[in-house]
Amino acid sequence: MTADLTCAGIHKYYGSRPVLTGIDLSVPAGTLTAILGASGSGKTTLLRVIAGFEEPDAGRVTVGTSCVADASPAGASRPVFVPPEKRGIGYVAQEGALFPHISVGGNVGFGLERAVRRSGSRIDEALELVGLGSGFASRRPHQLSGGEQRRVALARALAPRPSLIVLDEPFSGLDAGLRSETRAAVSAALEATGTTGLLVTHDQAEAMSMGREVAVLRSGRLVQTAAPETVYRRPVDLEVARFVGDAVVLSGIAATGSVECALGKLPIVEEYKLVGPVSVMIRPEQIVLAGNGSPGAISARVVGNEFFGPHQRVSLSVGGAPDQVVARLAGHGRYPVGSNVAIEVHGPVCVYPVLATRSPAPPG
Amino acid sequence: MIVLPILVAVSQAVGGGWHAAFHDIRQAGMGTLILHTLAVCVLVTLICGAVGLGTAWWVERTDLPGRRGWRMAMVAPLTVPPFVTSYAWVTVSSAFNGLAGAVVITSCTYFPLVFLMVSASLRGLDPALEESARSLGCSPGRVFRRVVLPQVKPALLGGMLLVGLDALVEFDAFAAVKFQTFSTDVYAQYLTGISVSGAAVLSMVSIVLCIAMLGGEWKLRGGAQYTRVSQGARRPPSLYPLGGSAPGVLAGMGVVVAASLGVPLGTLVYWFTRSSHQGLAAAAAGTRYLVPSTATSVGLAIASAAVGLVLALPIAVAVTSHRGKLVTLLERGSYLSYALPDLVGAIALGYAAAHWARPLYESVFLLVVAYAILFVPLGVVALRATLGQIEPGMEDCARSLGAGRLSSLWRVTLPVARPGIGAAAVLIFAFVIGDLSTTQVLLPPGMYTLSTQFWSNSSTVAFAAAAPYAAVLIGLALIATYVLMSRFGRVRTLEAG
Repeated sequence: MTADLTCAGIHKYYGSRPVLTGIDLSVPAGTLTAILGASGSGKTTLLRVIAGFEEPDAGRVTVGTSCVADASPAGASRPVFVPPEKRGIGYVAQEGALFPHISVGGNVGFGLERAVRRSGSRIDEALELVGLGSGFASRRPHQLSGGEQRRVALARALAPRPSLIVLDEPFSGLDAGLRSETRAAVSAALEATGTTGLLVTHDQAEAMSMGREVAVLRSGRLVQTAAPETVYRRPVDLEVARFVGDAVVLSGIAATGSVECALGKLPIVEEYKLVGPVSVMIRPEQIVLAGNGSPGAISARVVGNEFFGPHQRVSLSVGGAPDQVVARLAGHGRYPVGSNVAIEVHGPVCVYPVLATRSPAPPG
Repeated sequence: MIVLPILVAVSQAVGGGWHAAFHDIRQAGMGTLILHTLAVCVLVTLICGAVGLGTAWWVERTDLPGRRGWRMAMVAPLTVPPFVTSYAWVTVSSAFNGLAGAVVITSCTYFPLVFLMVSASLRGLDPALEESARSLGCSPGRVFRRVVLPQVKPALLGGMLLVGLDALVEFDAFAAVKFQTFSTDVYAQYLTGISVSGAAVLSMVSIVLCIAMLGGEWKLRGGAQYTRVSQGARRPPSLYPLGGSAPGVLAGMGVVVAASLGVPLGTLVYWFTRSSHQGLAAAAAGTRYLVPSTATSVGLAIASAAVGLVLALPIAVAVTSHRGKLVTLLERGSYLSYALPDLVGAIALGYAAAHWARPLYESVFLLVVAYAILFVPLGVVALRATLGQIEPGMEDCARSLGAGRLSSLWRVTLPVARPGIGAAAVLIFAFVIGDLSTTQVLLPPGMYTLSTQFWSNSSTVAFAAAAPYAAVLIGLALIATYVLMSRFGRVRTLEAG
């Protein structure tokens, strides 16, 4: 049932404006990949190209063994383009887009053969997959809460047993509690059916917690596709680093294996091989209070504090360094502005070429 | 199919020879006609724009008492046949002849087109936009100018365009007040039997004017597309308190209702009460035609509404789901048929049938097709107001679930748009019921409708005999209004069930 998804060299223009540029992406069968991008990065367009609502201007989309779109297939004069209804790709739209004129059961059974729809058993199965009882089938869409509507939308997409399902910001507009609950229901349903999934989101936490892999899309280009930990701990450039989470950036001088900066001599993540002036990227949670007599301890003065409950963002000024350091410290400590603390850095840090001017040359 | 009447009319115009055509135009007193036509079009369009916008604002966005009732009253005049209105005005005072009468009567009949479109658009506005503007320091007046007006501009211009086109080709109303425009002259040419090509040539001028209007609307709209009316606006728009200006506004609305509804209804009653016994006896004798003519009118109107919907749906669907030069051209093309004087269109269709489809000549089928083609733009307008509100994600979902383009249209789009489709059908229905000139040309011999009965009685000054027909016409119109108003521009949503 399940199939892998491959996109190769996808280009898409709106008029003369490029929206997608050379997208190469593969999602292994039975796994979920999250496409993470800011608004306007082209993530919804990519999803629509895959689902068949848009035709790519160049490139190829393959699901399992069948090619569903190919702008310039070898040995053929016409582009291959399978219309969305023939692709068998499940699609969950942004706000759910339930059909208001039919019952929940009618919605879920919409994509089923008439005979299967009549029997109703597949409808109940699909509803149970997303954690809703079969009692929901007779309800009307407007009687459902926001979270239930999203689940029904997922059940509707899963009912015809697609090998691949694409989800367009499926949790947008839900409040935090409902969001994590619905998120768990989606993950469970996809896992239970072994359906390959592609999820589009602008929410870093959502992408990293749900995706086996995270693909970061920026201005129509995929800049990094990797496991969530890799994207977070070893982002490919400073921009990705700042996009996927909070980042402290300091200037420093790198030598082999370590870098000298305002926070002392720090080890560098193995993959980065740069020497000379660099920008050093440290995650705020790497900066911790130094224990008594710790050799690497550095004195810093608190210049600002944002309290979040479980944690607080403490802004620090270190020595005479111009850059501000932000530490993510536990919520129970007290760090009044003007007080002095001793800090040290845990774990290796990342280094990037200094961007004097915004030169397009990417590292490595 | 929609441009067929135009093509035939063009060929008739050219077939008459350009020399003859030129002669026709000179004879017709071109200067006067152009002046009259332009004057009436511009005045009526402006008046309807102002009245339609103002009344829509008051009804939809202020705490005017009795808003539901006013809303009905503002739409009802649209469904009152223009020839009834114009006869009523002429009876009130002979001062309403010529330009003044033409402008007043046409405005009274067509301002609801602007009202309908603008009020649908006002209802769908996101209140957050206005609230933001208020918090940025704009007074309500400035909010209206800087935030509301730009958003309803497409609806306003669309409504005004329809009004302008209506004024361009209006015949029924102008004939009664003896006001000459291109379309009445077309009729004169036809009646006096001078030449069919003369009529066709004149209608070419009318088409040129129509193209100018389409261009004007396009330019004013500044390329702005019709916005999706309701983009996730979950809260109903807030209402502005009228405060001290309430009596003035009520008086203004009262004047509009008195002019557009009061005069025709009042005159009907007057005709009944002031008729001589003789007249009433004649009226009573004439009423045996009432039931069959009602049946004919209603039957024709239902059939035309059905055919009109079938023609309008693909255009409306194409226009709302795709945007491109071709689609725009198609949509604009449908307006052209609206700008062809009814009579010329009817003659052209009759001519086409007589030459190429003999069995259809003088058939009910041809009449129904003619109505449908004539009123397609109304259907497109009403359908667009509804289809534009359907979430695009809905159709995408249907297609990803294996439904083809047609199947998703059938299973999702149309059911969701059902209220608006009803409105489109009713709009066509009302216009067919109130149509006179096309009916007179293409009605099969021996048949009669409410409007032809009214006409033949009123032109022999047997007003009392004409009144029952007018009463039935207006009764049907009011029913149509009720249905229209409760459904125009609506879709089935999750909120409303």
